Amino acid sequence: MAVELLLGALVSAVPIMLAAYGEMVLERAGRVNLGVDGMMALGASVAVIVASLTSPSLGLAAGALAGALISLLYAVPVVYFRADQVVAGLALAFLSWGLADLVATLSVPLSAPIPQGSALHLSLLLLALLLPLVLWAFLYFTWAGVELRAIGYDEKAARNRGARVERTRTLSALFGGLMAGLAGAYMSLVLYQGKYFAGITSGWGWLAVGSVILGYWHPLGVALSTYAIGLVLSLRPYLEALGLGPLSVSAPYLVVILALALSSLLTRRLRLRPPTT
Amino acid sequence: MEQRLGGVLAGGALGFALAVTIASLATGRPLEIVENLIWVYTSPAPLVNTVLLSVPIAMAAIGLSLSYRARFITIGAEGQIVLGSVAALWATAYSGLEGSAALALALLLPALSGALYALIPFLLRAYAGASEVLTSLMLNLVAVYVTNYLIATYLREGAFVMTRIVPPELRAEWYLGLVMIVAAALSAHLLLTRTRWGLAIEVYGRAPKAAETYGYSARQVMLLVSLLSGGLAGLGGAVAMLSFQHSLTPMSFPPGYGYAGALVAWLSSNNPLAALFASLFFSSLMVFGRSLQAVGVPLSYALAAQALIVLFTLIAVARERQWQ
Repeated sequence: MAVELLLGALVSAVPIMLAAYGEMVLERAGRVNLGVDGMMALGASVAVIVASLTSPSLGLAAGALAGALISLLYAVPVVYFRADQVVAGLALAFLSWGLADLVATLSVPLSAPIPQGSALHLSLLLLALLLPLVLWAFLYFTWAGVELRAIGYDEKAARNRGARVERTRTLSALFGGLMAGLAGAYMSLVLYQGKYFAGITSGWGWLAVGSVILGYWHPLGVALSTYAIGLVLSLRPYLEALGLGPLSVSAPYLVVILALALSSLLTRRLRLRPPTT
Repeated sequence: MEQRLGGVLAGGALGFALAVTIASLATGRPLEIVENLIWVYTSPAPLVNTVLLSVPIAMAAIGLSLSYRARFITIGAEGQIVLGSVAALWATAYSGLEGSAALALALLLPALSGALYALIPFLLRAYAGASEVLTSLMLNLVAVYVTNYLIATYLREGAFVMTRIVPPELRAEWYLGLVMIVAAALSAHLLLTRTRWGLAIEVYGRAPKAAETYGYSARQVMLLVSLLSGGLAGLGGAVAMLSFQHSLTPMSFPPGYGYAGALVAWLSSNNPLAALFASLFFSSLMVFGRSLQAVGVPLSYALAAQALIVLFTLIAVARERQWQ
C-alpha cells in the first residue's frame, strides 16, 4: 500500500511539478506569472482536440505549444511595456480559462487518452523526475543560467554587465507557458482519460505557483515541494472516508496556505534574501 | 489622468472587438452574435440584468480599489462573495427569522463573514509575511469547496443536491443594488478624500515609511482595507443572493464576480466612482456572454473578454507612458 501511495502521489503530482518548474525559471529571472492555472486549462483543452484528431503524443505537443503561445500575451505587456505583472498574469489566467472552454466547444472530441503505465506516460513521469536535475545544471553551471539568475537577483546590475534582460525574460515566460501547457495536457490526457471539462485544473496552477516559493526557487526544492503536494492530493480518498466529502478537496490548498505562512516566517526569521526580486 | 482614460478607451475598444471576433470565428455564427450584442444594449430585460450583475462586481471593485491603493493586493473578493451569498441564504431561508429582522441579518451576517474571511490573508501577511496574492487566491477555492460541502449537508433540501429558496417577500428589487453600489462608491470616495484613514491608505500605498511617521502602522492600514474590502464583497454576495440568485447549487469553479471586480479596480485606476461605470460595462459583458450560450459560447468566455480588454488596456496605457 505504501508503494502504491508513493507512486500514486507521483502520478498526480506530475502536472504540478511540470508547471512549477516553468514558473520557477521565470521567477528566477525576476518575474512572476500568475496565469499558470489558465495556461494549464488551455493546454488541457487543445491537447484533447489535437489528440482526438491525430495522436496522443501530438496532443501533448500541441497543448504545450498552446501554453507557450498564450504566454506571449503576458510576456509582451510585462517585459516590453513594463506593465503590472500581477494584473497581466491574472488577466492571462482568466482569458485562458475562457479560451480553453471555447476551444473545447469547437468539436466533440472522441477520447484519445494516454493509458496510465504506457510508455508515453512513463516517459512523462521520467521527465518530471529528471527535469529538475537538468534545470539545476542549467541554472548553476551554464553562462545562460548565471545570466538568468543575475537578472532575477539584481536587474540593474545585470543589465549594466551586459545581460539581455528582455530576451531572457521573454524566453523564460515562453518556457513557463510551454511547461504549464504540457502540465494541462497531462491532466486531460492522462489523469482524466482524454476528457476536458470546464474547471479541469481545479486550481492546481495556483498550487504550482505556491510550490515554487515552498521549494525556495531551487529546482530540487521545487521537485520536493510539488511531490509533497502530490502526497496530500493522493490522501484525498482517505479523507473522504472520514466523512469530509467535498471538504477533503480543499485539503491541499489549506496545506499549501499553511506551508506558505510557515516558510515566509522562517525566511524572515533566518533573515534570508530570496534569490529573486 | 485624461491620458489614461484615452488608453483605457482605446484598449477597451480593441479588446472588445477582438473578443467578439474570436467568438464569431469559433462559433461560425457572427450574425447571431451581433444581433445579441444589439439586444443586450437596447432591450430593457438585459439592461436590468446588467444592473443586477453589476452589484457584486462593483462591491468587490470598490473594496479592492481601497485595498490596492494601500498596495495590499488581495484577489480574495471571489470567495468572500460566495460566503456572503451563503450567509444571506441562511439568514433568509434557514434562520427562522421573518420580515425586517431576517433582512437585517441577511445584510449583517454576509458583511461579517466576508470581513472575517478577509482576515485570514491579512493575518498571514501581517504576522508571517506570506504573499496575500497567493493565499487569497487559494482561499477562493477553499470557500467554494466549503460552500459545496454545506450545500451537500446542512443546507441540503429535497432529493437533489440543492438548497432552500429565498422567500419571495424577502427578495430585493432590482434597483436596490444600484442604490447600494452608488452609496458604497460615494462613501469610499469620501473616505479617501476627506478622512485621516483615507489619507493613511493613500500615503501607505505610495510610501509605507511616510505613513508610519503619520502614526499609522502597516498592520493598521492593511487591517482596515482588509475588513472594508471583505465586508463590501460579502454585502455584494448578499445582494446577489437576495436579488437574482435566490438559491445555491454546487459549483465546480467560482462564479467570477470577484475576479471581474479585481479587473475593474485596476481598469478604473482604483477610483471608486470610475469603478461604478467599469462594473456596469463588465456586467453587460457577462449578460452578453450568457446570451451567447445558445450559440455555443461557454459561460467563462465573458471573463475571457474582460481579461482581453484589460490586457489591451495594459499595453495602450504603457505606450502612452512611453511617449510622454
